[in-house]
This record gives sequence, structure tokens and C-alpha cells, in this order.
Amino acid sequence: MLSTPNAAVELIKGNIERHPDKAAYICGDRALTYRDLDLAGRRFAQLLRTSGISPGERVVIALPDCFAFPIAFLGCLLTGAMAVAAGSSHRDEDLTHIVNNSGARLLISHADHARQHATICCGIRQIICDDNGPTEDNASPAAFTATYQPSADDFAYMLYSSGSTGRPKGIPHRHASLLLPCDLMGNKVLGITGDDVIFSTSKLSFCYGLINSFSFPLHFGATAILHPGKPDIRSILDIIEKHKPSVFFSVPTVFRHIALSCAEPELKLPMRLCCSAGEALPATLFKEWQRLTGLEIIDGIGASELSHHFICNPPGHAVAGSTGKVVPGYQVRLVDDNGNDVPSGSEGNLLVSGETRSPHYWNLPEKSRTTMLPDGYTRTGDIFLEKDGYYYYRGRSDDMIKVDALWVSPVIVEEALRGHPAVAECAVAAVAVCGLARPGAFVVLSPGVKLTPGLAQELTEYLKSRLPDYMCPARFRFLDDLPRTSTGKIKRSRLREHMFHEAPPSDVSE
Amino acid sequence: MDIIAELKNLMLKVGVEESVVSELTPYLPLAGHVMDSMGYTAFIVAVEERFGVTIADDPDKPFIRSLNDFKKLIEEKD
Repeated sequence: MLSTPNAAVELIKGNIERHPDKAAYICGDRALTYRDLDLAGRRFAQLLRTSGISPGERVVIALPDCFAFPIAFLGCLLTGAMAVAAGSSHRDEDLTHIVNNSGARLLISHADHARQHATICCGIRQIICDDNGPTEDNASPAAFTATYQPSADDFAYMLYSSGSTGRPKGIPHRHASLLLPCDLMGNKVLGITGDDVIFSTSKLSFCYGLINSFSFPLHFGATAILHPGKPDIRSILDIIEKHKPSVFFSVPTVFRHIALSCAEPELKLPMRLCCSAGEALPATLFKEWQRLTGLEIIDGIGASELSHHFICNPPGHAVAGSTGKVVPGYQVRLVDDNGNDVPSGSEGNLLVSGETRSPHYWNLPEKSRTTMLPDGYTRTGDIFLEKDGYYYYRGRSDDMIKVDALWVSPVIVEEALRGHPAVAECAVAAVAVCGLARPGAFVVLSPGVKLTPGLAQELTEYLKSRLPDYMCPARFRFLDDLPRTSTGKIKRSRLREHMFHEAPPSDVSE
Repeated sequence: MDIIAELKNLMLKVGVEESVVSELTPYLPLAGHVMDSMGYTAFIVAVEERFGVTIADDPDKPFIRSLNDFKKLIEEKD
């Protein structure tokens, strides 16, 4: 069996030789040096060993973005355990699913959530951490000597991404998926160096955030800023003011909100690069950001199945409204529904191939078969158009909705909405608000229920008590019937078209 | 119709506190100062549906930031 470098060793060793006292991470007012990160990572690895964790066994890291997250992640890589980067924002039922579906033997919880996790994931052993690492850690870093030597096929980590059925699906990756994006994207496209200070508002539990805040800083010997809280605008602007990042990774909603919050004609920012992903960046926002800050937003697209970006705008040559060009090292095809390549200038289904591709979903053979194609390409579910080498997002081929870079399955929202007694039938589809996608709800009322001016608000409050805010519909439309196919399936595509293209009809909504 | 008063009424409906709304000047950007991203989205939808306007993603039009911007857009529609 061919061996492959252990990503933890590759990412950390050069830093210990070159600049052990340099800050690898900043969180609030505290810094974690490369030396301390290395020691803490090896201590964590020893803790996993003494906990009886063997190579290949799954360890769920349910931590916020604090020092403990990269420490635990490094520890898993060093021992060969498979780190399941779950983060701290999952709903209880999703975390339970992740623990059960992955077959995890160990759950890493923050002290603030440990009791709750123990309740919802009963029976699994826990390691409890504070922001800095395990709260009870007697392991010596010197005791950990035998770093795991992975084979090329060994999985290093797994991410969970929302699926169309509403259940998050596991996407396992090999060590190379942590290393290759550093050269392909970090070096060749973005030109990141050791002088950079990186701030990603996307968390470590997302593919975008994991590479931005774990792989990039360690590979280039840079410094990354971690923010454990919610990425609200005040906190983000405070962090930018205080720590002056040179590279900023975020999502369109955050860029838009910063731009909207600015009362002055200009906004002075310390960044040299502003990068966006997670959902399509409206051309309006690209231009307004450039006018305000003098900076381009470098838009790109990646997927959990591919580890990081495979299409991205080249800095200095970004095109408004475009997602960019193919990242070196990846191959992209746009095909029709029969799998034939479409000509330049025509819309097609986006297929991507590259060495960072996940080979299959975890325990989902049928879904894997239809997504990870035998010719090495992965079906993304996105529809794109290519012109002059630049790619333009045109929508989704399935029903999933990307809101603030988070997937929303219509199924979950519909299930919750159907619980309200006024709702007989409903369907949820993407609608546009200021050029960004949001869930929209189409509702058929129960017999005898009258449409009143306050009903949409009542349904919103009902859903807010059951779902995260980003899943709650931004618009409601009340219909006599839902459009259906001849087999009775709801035609969400027709609903999408209806809501996207109509003028706001004040007479229909309430 | 007092458009600013009506806009403030819509802000109350989407959950902005009364004390914040009553102190609000028409020139202050609403996003980041008064509303978070979700609140701002809810407010835009409420304005669109109440006044029959579209806050479009149009590169040739300025960003709508303050109550005065919303008022201007509504008056232009009329």
C-alpha cells in the first residue's frame, strides 16, 4: 500500500524549525504560538491513545472556533483517528445523527455544551475542553512518539453537509485534501505568504473554513484569527480593526451587511485580499464593495466533496458576477442532462474532477453512485455557464437552497411548517431578496382557515421557535393549490420561477 | 402618508425594539446599527410587500441603507 505524508506533520514541522514563537492563532486577546500548538497537538494525540482510540476510528470534534479545535484536529491526524469536524452550531438532532452515523467512539465537547451533548449523545465517551484544550489533561507530549503513517487511501477527516433529505451526510477526506489546496489555491491563485494574517468568518467545521483557518495558516507559516462566536457584523468589524487581517474570507451576506452598515463614502480596510464563497456573489455587491473599499471581492466556488475551491477569480482580474476561472489542478465539465458537453456560452450541469475529491459519502452508497461518477468527476448540483474562460452561476439542478453559505433542505422547513394547524399543504423553494437566495414558503391553508394580515408573521414566529433563523422563510405566498407533476410530486422549479420573477404582489401575500 | 413613520412601523413588526426605532434618525444605515442580516432581510421583504416596490440587485442603482433611502425609492415609484 502506498504511503502518503501525514498532513499534521507536513503542516507543523517547518514552523517549529523556522519560527516556533510566532503566533499560529489569535483568539480574542490571546495568542497560541506554533511551539505551543505543536506541544498541545501531541498531548492531545497521547490523550487519544490512552483513551483507546485506534487509527481509523471516528472522533467527533463538536467545538467552536477556539484554540482547542485545531489542537484536537492535529491530535486526531497524528494518531490516525478520523477527525469528524462537526463544530458547535449543529441542531441537537443533527449532532446526534453525526455521532451515530459516523460510528464515533469519542466526542470532543466544549465545557459550555458538555452536559447538553452528554444528554443528546448518551453512551459515547467525551473529552471536555475549554477554549485552550482538554480541561483534564495529564498527558505528556513527550509520551507521544509514534506518529501515524497513513496510506494513500486512509481517511484523515470527515465533514458533514446538509443533504436533500434533511439529514447531514458525511464526506470523508484523505490527508492530501488538507495539503493540496495550499498549493493549488493558497499559493497559485491567492499568493498567500507567511506574512499574512488570515481571518475567515466561515468556521472550521466547514470545508471553506477548515482550509482557510487550518491548512493555509500552518502551510504558509501565517497567523489565523479565530472567532468562537456568531459572525455578526459588530464582532467582525471589531476583529478587523483590532487584528488587521491581510486576507479576509467570508460570504456574500457578510460583505453585503458590512457595505450596508457604512455611513461614510469610503471604508478603509487593512486587507489586501477579500475572498467570498458559499453562495453566488451578486455583481451589485462586487461593484459597491470596490467603490467603498477600493478592493475586489475574489469570488469562488468549492464544495465539501472537493475540499476547497475549484473555480475562483484571479486577484487583479476578478469579473463582477462571475465565479471565476478553473483553479489549476482541477478539471471542469459543463454537461446537459444526458451527460454531453455543452458549448461555451450555454448552461450546463457542473462536474468537477481533482485530486482532493472525496471518493464517496459515508454509508450512502446510492447517493455516492449518483454524485461521485466512475470517470472521476463529481456532480455538484450547480448549473453554470462558461464564457471566455470565466464561469457564471445560473442556479441549482436540485431543490437545495444556499442561505448565508449554509445549505437548507426544503424538506426540513416543510416538515416544521406542516405542524402549524393553519397549514394544509406547503412547499419551500428558493426566492431572491436583494440578489441573495432565501427560503420562500408556498402555503395552502387548512379548510376553514381565513387569510388574515398577521398570518405570515404568525407562521414566521412558529418556525423561529423550531428552526434556526437562516432556515425560516423570508417570504410567504398563499395559494389555492401547489403546482404538481403528473405523478403528484410538487414542482418546486415552477415555484422558484414564480417567486423569482414576479413583482412583489401586495395583494397576494397577506 | 408619512412614509418614515410607516417604515418605522414595519421595523417594529419585524422585531426591532421600540426604544431603538423611536431614537432612529432617517440618515443612519440600518444594517449593522439597528438590524442584523436576518432582520434586514425581513425588513426589506416587509417594505417590498407593503409598498409594492422591489429592492433590486441592480448594479446601476445605489445601495438602500437608511430610512431616507427607502423613502426616496418609495416616492420614486409613486
